[in-house]
Amino acid sequence: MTRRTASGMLVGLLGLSMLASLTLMGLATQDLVDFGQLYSTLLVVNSIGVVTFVILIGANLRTLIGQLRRGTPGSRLTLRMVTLFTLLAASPVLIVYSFSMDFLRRGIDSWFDLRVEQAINDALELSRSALDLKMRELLKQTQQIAEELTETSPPMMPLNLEDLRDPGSTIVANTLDFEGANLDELRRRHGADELALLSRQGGVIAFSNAVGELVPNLPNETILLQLRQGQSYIGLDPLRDGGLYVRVVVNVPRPGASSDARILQGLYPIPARMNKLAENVQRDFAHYTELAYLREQLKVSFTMTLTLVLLFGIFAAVWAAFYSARRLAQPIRDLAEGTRAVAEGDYETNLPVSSNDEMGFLVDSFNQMTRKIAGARDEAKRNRDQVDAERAYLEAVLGRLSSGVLTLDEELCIRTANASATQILGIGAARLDGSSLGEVCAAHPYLEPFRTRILPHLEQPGPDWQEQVVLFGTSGRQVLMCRGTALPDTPGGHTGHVIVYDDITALIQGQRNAAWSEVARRLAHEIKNPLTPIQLSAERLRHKYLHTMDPSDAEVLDRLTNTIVQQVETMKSMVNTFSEYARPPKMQPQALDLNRLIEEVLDLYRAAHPEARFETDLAVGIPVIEADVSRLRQVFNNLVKNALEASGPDAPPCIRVASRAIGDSSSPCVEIRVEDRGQGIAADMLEHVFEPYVTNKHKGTGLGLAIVKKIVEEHGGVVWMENRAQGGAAATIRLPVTVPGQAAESADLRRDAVL
Amino acid sequence: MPRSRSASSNFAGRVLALLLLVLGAGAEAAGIRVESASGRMVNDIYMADVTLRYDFSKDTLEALRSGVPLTVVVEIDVNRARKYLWDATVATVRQGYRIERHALSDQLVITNLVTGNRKSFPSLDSALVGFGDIDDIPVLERKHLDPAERYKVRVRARLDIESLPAPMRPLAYLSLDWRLSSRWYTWELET
Repeated sequence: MTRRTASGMLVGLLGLSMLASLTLMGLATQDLVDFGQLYSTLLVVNSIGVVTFVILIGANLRTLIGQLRRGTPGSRLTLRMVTLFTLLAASPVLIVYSFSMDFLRRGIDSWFDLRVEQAINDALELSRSALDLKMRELLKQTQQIAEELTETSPPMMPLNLEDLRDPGSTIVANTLDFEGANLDELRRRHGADELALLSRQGGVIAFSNAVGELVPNLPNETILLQLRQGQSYIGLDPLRDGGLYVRVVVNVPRPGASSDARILQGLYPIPARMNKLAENVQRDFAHYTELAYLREQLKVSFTMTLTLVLLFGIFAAVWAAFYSARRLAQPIRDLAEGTRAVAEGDYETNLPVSSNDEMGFLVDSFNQMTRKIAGARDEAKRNRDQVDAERAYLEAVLGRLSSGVLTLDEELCIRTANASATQILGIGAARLDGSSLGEVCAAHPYLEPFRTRILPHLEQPGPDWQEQVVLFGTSGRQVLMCRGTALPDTPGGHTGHVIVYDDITALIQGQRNAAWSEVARRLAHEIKNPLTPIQLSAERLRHKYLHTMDPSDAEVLDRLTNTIVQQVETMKSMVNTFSEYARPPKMQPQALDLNRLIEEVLDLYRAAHPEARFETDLAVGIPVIEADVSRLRQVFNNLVKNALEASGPDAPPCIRVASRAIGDSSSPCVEIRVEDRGQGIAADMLEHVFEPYVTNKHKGTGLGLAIVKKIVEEHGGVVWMENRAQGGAAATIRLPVTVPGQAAESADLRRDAVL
Repeated sequence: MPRSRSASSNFAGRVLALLLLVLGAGAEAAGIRVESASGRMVNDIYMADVTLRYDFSKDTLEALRSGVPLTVVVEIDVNRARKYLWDATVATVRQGYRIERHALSDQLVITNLVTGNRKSFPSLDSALVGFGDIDDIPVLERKHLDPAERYKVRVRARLDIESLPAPMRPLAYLSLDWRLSSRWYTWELET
């Protein structure tokens, strides 16, 4: 049972109690004996009941006003319904009330008619007249008894009445015998109920009683006074259970002057029939006069009862109006709140279905709707999560992809670009999303060939296309392999393109290096074998024929064989270098302070080339890297040597070596830059400087920079050569900072990959 | 312990009276006065004699003349004095007397509501005198009294509104003319 139902039942019970109480009060107003005693209680109870209803209604009204101010859903409907119910209930009740009041007043007034009053008075008068006749007879009769008593009256002391009253008294009151006369006998003979002979002061001398009472019913002082004045008394006296008696009191004539004055009282019953009629007349007269006196108060009393009934009726109706309006409005309020909750995104709202009517059906439909919406929302969320997961998966894949992936919309604006896309194009970590291809190329002019080459494919979408693009960026020549295709139409009607490109510069370079390594290996193998026999043959030839020949021929032979031997040696040396290029020794990585290594290398050169100027700009605290010291030493040797050789003869060489730490915490690396102030490198050579046998110098094997590149790549780094804007060239090496232990393994893997 | 023979008393009436008392309407009505009261032992029964004087208001007398019976309740309490607590009530007697007009005999009849005894008086004055002299009201037996203790008897008389016809009661409760009650009259009980 809900709280509301319980309170409703409680108030219903109160109403029923009040109804019962009002009914009792209605009966009490009519002065029915049983309920007359309860009148005041009922009045108080009913007033409290009415006040309780007023309080209940007040509380309801206050709640309703509060709800109206707050704009609670359903409050206006409740107000309308309450007003309507109240009007419907109160109007007929008020009309009935006003008519009832009128009838009530008229009805009460109609009880009191002058003729009725006259009739009642006449009846009383008639009764008195009828009784008067009887009373006069009884007076005569009593006077006769008095005279009889006079004749036989003995002197007798009166009894003290107080003694008679005393329960402990031993005086016997019915000592009635007189000389010659018996009071008892007289009483019986004259039909009296009681005869008492009294002194003038009221003392009992003797008495006789029909009902055997111990004490005679004595006359009061007024009667005695009247007797003392010599008059007789006769009157009606309502004694003993309302029965009427005639009281006759007369003076007993005194036989002599010496005797005390006495009085005789006789109580005579009225005949039963007459007594009954007189009693009726008396009762009705008393009732009538009482009603006449209570006329206005009766009106007030009836009005009060009727008003209480009216108030109870109206207040109960108003409360019932509140109760039912609330009950009716509750589902609507629930629905409104539920709708609001749904609008705010809470689809878990489930309203209680309290009835089987249309409202219940509506609430049930609402619940079904919210359930379906919640289901659809959950489904959508699942789909979204799935899409998000797929997107995250795709982003993770794209992010780790070494190929650059760009998607463009139909306006050629970049929609997405993975990390490799920007890295390959050398535009840093700039966010490309939303910027157009044209804008990106305008910001990075060296990307113009990229745009020029792919634009035709984008403007005329066709099947998958493939294009090789060569860029000349800050890190030198870059060869990109671009593949693209048009994206399928999206639901919004947007089309676009996806471009996937790889930097195949390293691949091409690797292929070229691999080819060179193979050439070197074969050359070493093929050339080295015949060199020894050639050398031995030349030496043998010299040894055998030198002393047999004439001096001039011997000189020629000596020179020729020496030339052969020297050239063979040179060739051997060359073959060894080739061999070294093709098959380097195993990496032996160890923790290495690059700055120190650089200083060591530069110290050697400072000593050997005092005319040259060596500048250093070594960052303090660069990370220690894992590297093979001897091989890196060779790298720096080669680079410094290369820089010294690149410096022109016009000015003393100036070499600047700088080191710094770059990269973020996830991929830290160290950059070393070796700059010279020579002539720089011709543009057409720039992309080939790290290939074997590419040199613009007269001396050298052309393998120096190739070896540098090889060693750097074995260490997981990159190296590139660029021309400085101020003149001269700069070689830049970037080496990753590797965790100890991983360096050798990764280096071996890389070397194998390079080979 | 003899406990009261009480005239009908109504709780709601008391509530209303109390309400009016609190509201500050004059609680003291000049209508009834205990002129004298005394007690005596008669055959080991303590009997009280009370003399009351009535000064009924005009409205009250008008009602009496119009046939509305009036009931006066005489209340007698016997209390035992206690040192540290309030007095203990040993006996309470409520005795009602009704005065009404008997139209046929043109008499005023006073009825003792406990014994049913009736007395008739030809005039209002004589009736009021007769109505006022109330003798021999048995209060309690001697055996209920402890000679070592001190007892106080108190008496008062009041017009019983609850005995009036129902329509009169609400107005009677609200009117000073009808709320007639004497002060308590107290005397020592001498065993």
